[in-house]
Amino acid sequence: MTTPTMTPMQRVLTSLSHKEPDRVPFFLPLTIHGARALGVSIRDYFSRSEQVLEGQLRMRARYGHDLFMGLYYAAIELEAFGGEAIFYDDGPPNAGAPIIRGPNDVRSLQAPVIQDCAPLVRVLETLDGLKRHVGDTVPIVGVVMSPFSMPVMQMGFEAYLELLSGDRDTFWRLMAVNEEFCVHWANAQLRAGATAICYFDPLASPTMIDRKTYLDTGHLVAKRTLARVLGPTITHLASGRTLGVIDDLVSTGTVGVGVSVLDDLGEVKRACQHRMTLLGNLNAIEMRHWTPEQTEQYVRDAIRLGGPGGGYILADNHGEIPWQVPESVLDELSAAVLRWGNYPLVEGPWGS
Amino acid sequence: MTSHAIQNDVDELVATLLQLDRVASNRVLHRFGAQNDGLIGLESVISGALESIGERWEAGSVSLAQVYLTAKMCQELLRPWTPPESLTPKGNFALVVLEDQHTLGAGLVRAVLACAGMAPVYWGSLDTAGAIARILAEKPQTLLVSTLMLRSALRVSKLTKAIRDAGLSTRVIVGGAPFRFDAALWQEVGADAVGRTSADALALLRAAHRGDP
Repeated sequence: MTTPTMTPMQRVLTSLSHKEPDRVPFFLPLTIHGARALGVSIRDYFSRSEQVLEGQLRMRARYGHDLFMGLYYAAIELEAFGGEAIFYDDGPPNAGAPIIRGPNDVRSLQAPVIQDCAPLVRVLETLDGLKRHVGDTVPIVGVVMSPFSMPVMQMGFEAYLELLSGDRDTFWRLMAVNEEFCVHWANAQLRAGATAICYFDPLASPTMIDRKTYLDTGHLVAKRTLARVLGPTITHLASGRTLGVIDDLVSTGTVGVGVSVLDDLGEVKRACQHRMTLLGNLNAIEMRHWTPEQTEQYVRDAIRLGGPGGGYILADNHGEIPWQVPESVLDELSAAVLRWGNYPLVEGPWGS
Repeated sequence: MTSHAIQNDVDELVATLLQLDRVASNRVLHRFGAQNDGLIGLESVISGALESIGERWEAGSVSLAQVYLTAKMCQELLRPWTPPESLTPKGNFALVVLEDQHTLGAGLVRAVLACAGMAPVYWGSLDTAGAIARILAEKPQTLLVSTLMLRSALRVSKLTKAIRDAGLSTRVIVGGAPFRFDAALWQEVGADAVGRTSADALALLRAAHRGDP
């Protein structure tokens, strides 16, 4: 096994530059697993920023991944808008009831003030703590929900699809509010210590919305929003397909994309043509019952398809590792990256 | 399975639906209804169209939004043909969203079933204890379970255990994102069948109720 010669920051930045670093970087978005490590409930874990900081440090100490995750849970932004997050003992907090029930609610909607939302302030404290611990040696990824995908939580999926197809005036009013919040929230995280921002935009995927509608709506939102974010961004489609919108995502200015297990990683790599770095695309739902042999094979396959030439960070396909994935699988995954991910790669890509 | 006789009409309807062309879709339905068995024939061609659209979503050529909007359009187009009593839940089958507020999947299933003249007893969003209580009280012949999150999907095992422990014959059909990403999950939780698209619900329900009126 080769001794690493780069810091995680150097490794990730080299790969983002579409050059081959010492080995393939890998990212384990372990949002709630710190609660298990600290022996507290998930609700309790997120109630204090120093606990999330400790949890993130412990996770990285055990698994050796190359990026810290600033995300607490997606519904935290709904809380900022006055909604509720529902906590569980064995999964990420979920969004509560919609806060928008009609056009009047959109007309009166205001972008939240970050400092007035205690959960958001805790996220900033965690980012600040991570930055103080690692300086510029390990990338820290802050996360925002895209203004275009946020309404799924704000008003429910069905109501949002009806709005998107039937009331564009109200839709654009909602986007104006969401864009303001998203930009402020992204930049606040960068100021607090985040190196980059993950722009979580599941509705950009052709799995969810047809491309024409996306180009008329979410794509315009992404271009406007990301242009105002004062740091690099990675766009994640939360296990939705990416082929079909690669060129569109590139034109938003984002530097990376999360790849779905439904996509062929090699095909996405070719479509990107070194214009975006890929993250993915391990199936974290199936990961629960992977044997050591399966874990190693899936890691090898992903590295073989995504790794050549850099521009690749091995990760799961959804942007969050489920609570039910055993620690032993994550241990094996990390070991497999260290065994098979050193550059120059032992195995070339299939079909290249 | 759509018969060859109506395949051309199904294909034409799929094309007009995906364009969200209500006028053209209505024209296809009126022409077909006039030439065939009225509502019964219409339900066949609409079910065939929704099944085709579901397959296209599974293959990646159609979006979930299109699946939803076309299903809603079909429901609306069928309304003038549909006797009000057919919208009343009948048959001993129920639909529940387990441990989640996201009802899109269940909404799609209801739309697909409505287009086939079927209406489940809709339990809405329930937690595991609430769902078990209704199973034991109402003893549905078939229970359709929609889930979005992995933890919710894993809780189906508590439902199937409760059914076994009570000696009930309720068949459980599951659907939702976790089951699409883990092909063995439905068996792991003790379900009887899994639908990969909302359109699958109709075929699976008919298989479960074969012989029922």
